[in-house]
Amino acid sequence: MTLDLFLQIVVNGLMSGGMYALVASGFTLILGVMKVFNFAQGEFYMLGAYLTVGVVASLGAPYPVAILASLAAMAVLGVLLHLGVIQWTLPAGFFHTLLVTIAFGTIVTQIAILTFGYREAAMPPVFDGVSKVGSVSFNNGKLVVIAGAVVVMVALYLFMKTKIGVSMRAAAENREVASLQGINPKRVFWTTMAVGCGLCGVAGSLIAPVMAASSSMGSNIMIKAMLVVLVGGSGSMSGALLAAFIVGIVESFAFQYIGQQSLIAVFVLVAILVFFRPGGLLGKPLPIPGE
Amino acid sequence: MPEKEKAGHLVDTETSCVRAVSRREFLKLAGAAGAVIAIGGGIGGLLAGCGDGTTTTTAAAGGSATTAAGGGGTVSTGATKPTKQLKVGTLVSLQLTNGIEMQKWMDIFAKTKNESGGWEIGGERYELVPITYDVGLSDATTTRAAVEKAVLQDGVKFIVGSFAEVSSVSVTITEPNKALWMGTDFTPATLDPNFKYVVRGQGLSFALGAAYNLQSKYVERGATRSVIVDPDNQQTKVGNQIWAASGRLAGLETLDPITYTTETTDFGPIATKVKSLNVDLVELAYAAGDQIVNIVRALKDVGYEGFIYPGNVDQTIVDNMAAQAGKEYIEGQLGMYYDPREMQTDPVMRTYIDRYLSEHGKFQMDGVFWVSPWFLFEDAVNTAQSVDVDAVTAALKSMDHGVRTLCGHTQLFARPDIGILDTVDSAPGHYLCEIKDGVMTPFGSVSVKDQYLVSIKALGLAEPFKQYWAEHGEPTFPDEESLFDFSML
Repeated sequence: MTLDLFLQIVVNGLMSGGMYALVASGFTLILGVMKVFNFAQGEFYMLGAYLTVGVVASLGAPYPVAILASLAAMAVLGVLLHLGVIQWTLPAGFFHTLLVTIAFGTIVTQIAILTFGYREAAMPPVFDGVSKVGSVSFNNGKLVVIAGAVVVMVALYLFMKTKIGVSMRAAAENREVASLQGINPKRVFWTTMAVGCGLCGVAGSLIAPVMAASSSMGSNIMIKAMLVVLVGGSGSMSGALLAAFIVGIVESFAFQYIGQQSLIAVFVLVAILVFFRPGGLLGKPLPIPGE
Repeated sequence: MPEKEKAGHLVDTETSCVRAVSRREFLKLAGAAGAVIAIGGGIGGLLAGCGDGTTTTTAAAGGSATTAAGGGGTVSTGATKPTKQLKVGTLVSLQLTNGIEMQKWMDIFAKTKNESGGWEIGGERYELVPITYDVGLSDATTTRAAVEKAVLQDGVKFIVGSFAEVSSVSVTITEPNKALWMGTDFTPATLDPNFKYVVRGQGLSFALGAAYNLQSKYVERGATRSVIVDPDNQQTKVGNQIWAASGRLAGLETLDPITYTTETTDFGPIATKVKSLNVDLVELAYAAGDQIVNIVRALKDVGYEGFIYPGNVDQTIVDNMAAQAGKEYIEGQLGMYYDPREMQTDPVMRTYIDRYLSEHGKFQMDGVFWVSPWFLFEDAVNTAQSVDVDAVTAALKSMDHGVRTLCGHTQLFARPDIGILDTVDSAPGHYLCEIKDGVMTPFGSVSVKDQYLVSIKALGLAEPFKQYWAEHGEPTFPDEESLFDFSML
């Protein structure tokens, strides 16, 4: 393997990992705070990508506006999902909430198919061209995706230091005690949904100029995101980031040598890591229903 | 603190988890919802039944097939009216533009017949009723449901044309129910000498002439080593092997194909792998749609500078490739060309093309090639002057001439290499193009004869065919310009 090929593979993996990190972070945030397994998380990523393409390609708005629009729209949709569906099923238990999120995700996917069809929706590249390091070419858009993912994760880390962020972490630790401390669970929950789903919207915005939006992209990324949460540990942002890049890079190297069966390598990796660190690299084990 | 309700649900008044719905309330709501759905469904059914026959489609849900009633057109109100109906089924994926376009073409063929008083067959006039069945995307369950509905419920006796079905499943239903299957298949599943009602209206066995033609041109330009990049499905598993055989005949060193799942949107890893293989020709033999654009873009991003065969492109895809990768990057690439408007001279075909344009506006190339089985079927029915399945099948299996299609000609041939002496496998003509300044520019076509002979040579089947010709005579071909003849074998 040449150094050029090695670097190319690493960049591919970092880009994928960046996307996994954003989607997984939102997922693990909601899971950690609300104990809700949001199976529809990937659909927010898909909608964010479509919205970005629409805002830029159809309305002609600048790309940063599209990112903000996607963030806001997915945050609002996440809050609506909570207020309209999740909050009603929470008392019924973990599996009830899981099923309704599956249903919501399926409905959203089918609406996307009916609206956009099965053809992908592409937008003109925003960061066009390639950057060369020696003889290695890197798509500028991909580099921006990687950088964007890191910036968003840093922003999320700082957000979690704010008052509301601390409230969210407290609620994740122990909801009853947090409530006794005067933290309003209602506010924490919908804020969590807004942030968690907004993150996916941003992820979709970042990837849209590089890969076309498609109705299947949400479900595709969810499997990887769940693996990332499993490896990183529930409720851990830094764990999600670390695990995402590990998964992305392993998948990228695996594809180079075993082709589309690269997911096998990822699952083997996950199995090994979980064997030695059942609680994830930096977080806690996934919540068991009923606990 | 949480309180317990009579219904047995916990209520937490502190959180946003408002009082849960009691069992009685839930049953009331469910009953009301069910009544609304039932009434809505009934009204919808009434409206559909009173419809004017315009085509309606719904996409297949997982595991269940849905049908699109064919448009059929208005039957002539003149003196001669059809007294009977002839149902013809087409199996497509309505998830793909190919499928939608095939439906449109079948609709046009039916309208053309029906508006002239129906199809006269054996002294009777038949209203042609085309019905499109959604088979999903290479989905065995959906294929089975669709074909069962067609054959067992709707009484369809003729399946004419297919795309993205699982043909090995289809024929297990059509064959025992004595329904003719004339679909598309690239696998050996439909080449069984024991099959009575299977004719490959569109196969791959005799389709290497076009591939060879294009590959030879790339070899002339300096290509020596190629890799095929394709989606992974039942058809491409066989198709890639055959395509590679054609490449070797043309003088290329062909590497193992790189495949991807149909859901893939990030082609960076694929492009990276292509570059690491040091090939100078990438062949997207069976890739389709926007994936072609994404792959080409990814190849450019990693700095791949060799030739690219972009596969089944249309002008929209070429425009997108130009937008994503730049006109210069795709300049000179060769491909299949499915737009007959500049190349087609037959007046009947031109009538169909003109009708398509008047009904649908912008011309789409998807589907044009894949409805070729219709013309074989039409010819067989006209020859047999019967709608009896055995009679039509016999006419197909003894067909000794080519028929006109939208993209040139097509013809059925025997497969003596696997013991089938009836004409069951088709060799379709093809147009070819070169991308010049971002525009697909046709430069010629591949004849039925070239498709047939090149395929036999590329697949190493000369001996059994020569024996067959010695006993049955060499086939005749449509009057087209060809590059090859029997002496090359």
